[in-house]
Amino acid sequence: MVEKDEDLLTLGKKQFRSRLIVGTGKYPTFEVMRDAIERSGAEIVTVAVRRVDLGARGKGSLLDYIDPGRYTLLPNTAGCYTAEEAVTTSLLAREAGLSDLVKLEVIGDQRTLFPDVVGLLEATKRLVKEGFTVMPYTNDDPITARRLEDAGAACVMPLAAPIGSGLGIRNPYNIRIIMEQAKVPVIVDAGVGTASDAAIAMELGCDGVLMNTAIAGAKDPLAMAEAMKLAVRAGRLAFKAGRIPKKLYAIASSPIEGMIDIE
Amino acid sequence: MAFLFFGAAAWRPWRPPEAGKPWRFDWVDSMQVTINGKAREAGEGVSIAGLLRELGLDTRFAAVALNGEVVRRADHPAVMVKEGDRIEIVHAVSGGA
Repeated sequence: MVEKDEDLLTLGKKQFRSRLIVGTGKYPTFEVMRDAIERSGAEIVTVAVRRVDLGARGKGSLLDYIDPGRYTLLPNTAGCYTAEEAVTTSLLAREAGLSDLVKLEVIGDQRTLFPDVVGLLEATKRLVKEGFTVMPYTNDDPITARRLEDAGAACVMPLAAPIGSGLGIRNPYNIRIIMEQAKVPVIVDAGVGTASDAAIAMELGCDGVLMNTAIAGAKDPLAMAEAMKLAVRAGRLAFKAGRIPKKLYAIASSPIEGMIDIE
Repeated sequence: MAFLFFGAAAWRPWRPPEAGKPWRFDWVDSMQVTINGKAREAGEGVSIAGLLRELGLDTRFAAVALNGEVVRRADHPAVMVKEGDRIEIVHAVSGGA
């Protein structure tokens, strides 16, 4: 199915056609989630890892709605505040048969949900040693991104803005620097609010965008899912096409010669 | 047969009476463990696999940690649960970040 000259995203040993990664949280129902994910065209879907509710036997579970044969599951360590917690959560996710990919989060602060980069780096090292394909959620800091890459991360995932904030890319210049120096894919994770935010990330040259709230929280999640799919695609094409340089003054795009003469 | 039955029963340890509770003779065929943060009874000498069965859980995408250590799926039938163990049973749920 995969053609040679296709524009693919490589993460660890796997390749993907879609550059949009979506979350599974905050949807009003499992059905809306399933349909929105379908419409987004995403091939990678992130899931959280939590205690089984022992009192809720027989109720529908997430994986009744997301076929692990069809989607690549990307377990995340959301809610982990230490490297230790994040590592154990990742090991559990792998043991649960979800994936050896992990969207690694070590959160530093409850209000901003900004990453604790010290813990993140430590957890990355340990999980790389364990054979994981580590996808760390990090700050838009080029030095941290480089450290994570050196530690063996399969990609770096700088935030556009705080998780769930919908502010869009607050520091496009840092994202550009991260991108220019990185040899692994750069995926913008968190903070995207609407389609243009995703397009901007892709136009900057990012390799992908990960989002949850922007789709799940939209008035019409299904329509927004499709908007995001198109935005990521459009942004990618625009980046590859190469945009024109910005100029202060006008440059006519019609010939100056051959104008009619009326006195 | 009867001999075997009573013989086996005689060897079963019994639970001493708990302070403040009316005395009740009780074979120790269950033990206290903590599962997902809640105190629960589990059958004496049960394995992780047995415990998951006892709880009636769909284990296709569940994983277990015993006292903070991840137990490999292949080891579920062999690893025994002991009195006072802390067991975490997790699975995938909705979430993004």
